[in-house]
Amino acid sequence: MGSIDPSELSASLDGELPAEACDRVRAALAADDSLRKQYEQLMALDAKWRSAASGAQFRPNVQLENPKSRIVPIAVLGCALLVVRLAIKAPPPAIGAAIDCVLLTLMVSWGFGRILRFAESDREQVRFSPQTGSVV
Amino acid sequence: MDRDQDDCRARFQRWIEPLLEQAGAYAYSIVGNPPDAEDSVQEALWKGYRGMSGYDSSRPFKGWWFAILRNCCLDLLQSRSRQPRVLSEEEVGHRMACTNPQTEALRDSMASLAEPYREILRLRYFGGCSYRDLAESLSIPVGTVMSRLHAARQALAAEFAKE
Repeated sequence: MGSIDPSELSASLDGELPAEACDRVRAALAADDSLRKQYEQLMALDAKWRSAASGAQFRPNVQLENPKSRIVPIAVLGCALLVVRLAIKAPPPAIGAAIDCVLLTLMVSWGFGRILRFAESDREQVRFSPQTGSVV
Repeated sequence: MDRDQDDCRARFQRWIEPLLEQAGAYAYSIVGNPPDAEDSVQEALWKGYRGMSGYDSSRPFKGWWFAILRNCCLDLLQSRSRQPRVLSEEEVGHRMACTNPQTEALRDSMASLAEPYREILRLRYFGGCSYRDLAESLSIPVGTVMSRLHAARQALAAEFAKE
């Protein structure tokens, strides 16, 4: 293969060689027919493999959740309702009950959210029934 | 501190976004099906984000994160070997419709190679990694990347020649 290292052929194909080494490879290819043939074969295989690998590309449906984007407005709402509830000494029963319900719902939701986040670290494997197609 | 966390998260999202499709392909090359590949990428997202404080920004981000992704894929394969995923008929049909024969032939050929060759070829072809990314992901010098990749290609060419 003349004066170049065989691995420099691959690196040249990948565009990963510094300029000086690229020039050496180019000169060696121009001077040696068998080397040029090997390079062309490598180029053809590389194109074939890249084309085959591109068939696997897909965009996974993933997300990086920001809990704050949901928690902050909910927390602000919860605090505001609590302040209102405490400030009004004798609220009408319906309004008092409504505020109590919303506060209770927010607290329970927050509690479940914490439990679910803890449980996510031990996610169960999803199992489907082949017969019914439903989750087992 | 909240602003730092938001900045970190925004930076992580910015860096991750252009890598997702290649991450999906790379994960698929290891686990062999899109749903498991998606799970692996999601897991790697969370782990990568949580591990950002340990990331040295002078090192290639893609190589760093793909090393995390590879571990997530291998963990998932281990868990599947203990508890196989049972698929519905619809999932099986969907999976068969998505299968590309050339892609599967490449995966099968790579799977028969020695692990160092298999790993570097997967990262290069499915993951689209540069030599720097390969060096970072595999924790080897760039010079070793050059020689190993060349040897891996020759081994893969020999496998293809058998078919």
